[in-house]
Amino acid sequence: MMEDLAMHLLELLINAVEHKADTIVLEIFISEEDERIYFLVKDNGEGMSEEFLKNATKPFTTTRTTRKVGMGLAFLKSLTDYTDGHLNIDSKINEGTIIRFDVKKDHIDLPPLGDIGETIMFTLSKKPGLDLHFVFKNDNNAFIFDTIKIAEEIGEVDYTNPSIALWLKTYINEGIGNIK
Amino acid sequence: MKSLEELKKLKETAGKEMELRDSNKRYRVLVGMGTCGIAAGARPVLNRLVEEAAKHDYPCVVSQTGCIGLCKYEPIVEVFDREGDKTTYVYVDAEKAAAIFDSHILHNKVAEEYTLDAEERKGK
Repeated sequence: MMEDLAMHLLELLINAVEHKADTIVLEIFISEEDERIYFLVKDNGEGMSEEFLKNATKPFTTTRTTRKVGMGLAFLKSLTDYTDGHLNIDSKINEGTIIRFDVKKDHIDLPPLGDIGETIMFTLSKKPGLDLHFVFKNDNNAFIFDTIKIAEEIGEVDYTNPSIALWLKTYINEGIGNIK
Repeated sequence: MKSLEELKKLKETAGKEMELRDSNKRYRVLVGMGTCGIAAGARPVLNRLVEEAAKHDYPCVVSQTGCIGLCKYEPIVEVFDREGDKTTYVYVDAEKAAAIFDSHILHNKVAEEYTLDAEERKGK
């Protein structure tokens, strides 16, 4: 169903944007020492109530009013269940949501990382003006992409523009490639 | 290697292009990226549409929408023209996406064979 980790992340990031986030932090930490991969997705969107949070990882839970089926977090829960991982969600109404999960790095059932550059391109092209702080690191090095820093250096960038979106995808993947 | 210098140049050209051609902006292309769409293969479709738009330097809006309740027809692409009229394309893959872009966006001709209407007629 979910072919790679990038697909899970895309779900989380799109969830954040659809729930009114305008700033998102995405961190991926590949630790050889711990033999784990740690993920963090943090947003300043509308957040979830305690009540909703209790059931958020169960299938068929959703905020949508057009239908009553939600699967995104349920897929993520199942990923962490079968890869010896953990999933932790913190959320406050009107403040935002922090999702942390980790998986065992070389677990036989762990899907590949997938195209992270594409995931980020899709996220930033979804909402003009969205800010993203992205960190990809291992035990020794880090690649950071930060839309606010870029805007300070060269002015506001329209990541919904197709040529710029393609630049973004390649830039991110080259950055990740240098760390791996 | 991609650099911020390159982004700066792209940004300058893109800004000018958009200003010049904004009045000709005709289409909005939306790809269904709900869980159903993503799982059915919407990512290569959106990718291809972005690539086609960049290649032809065509200032249409390529964006995403959530689940539109037609999960069994995913991946779905919706094309809105300037009047807001919508054409729904179903079971789209990267190749069909390129064909739809060429026919509908570049040549203003609906790619009938890939539409929801055509698919529904087939089913009857």
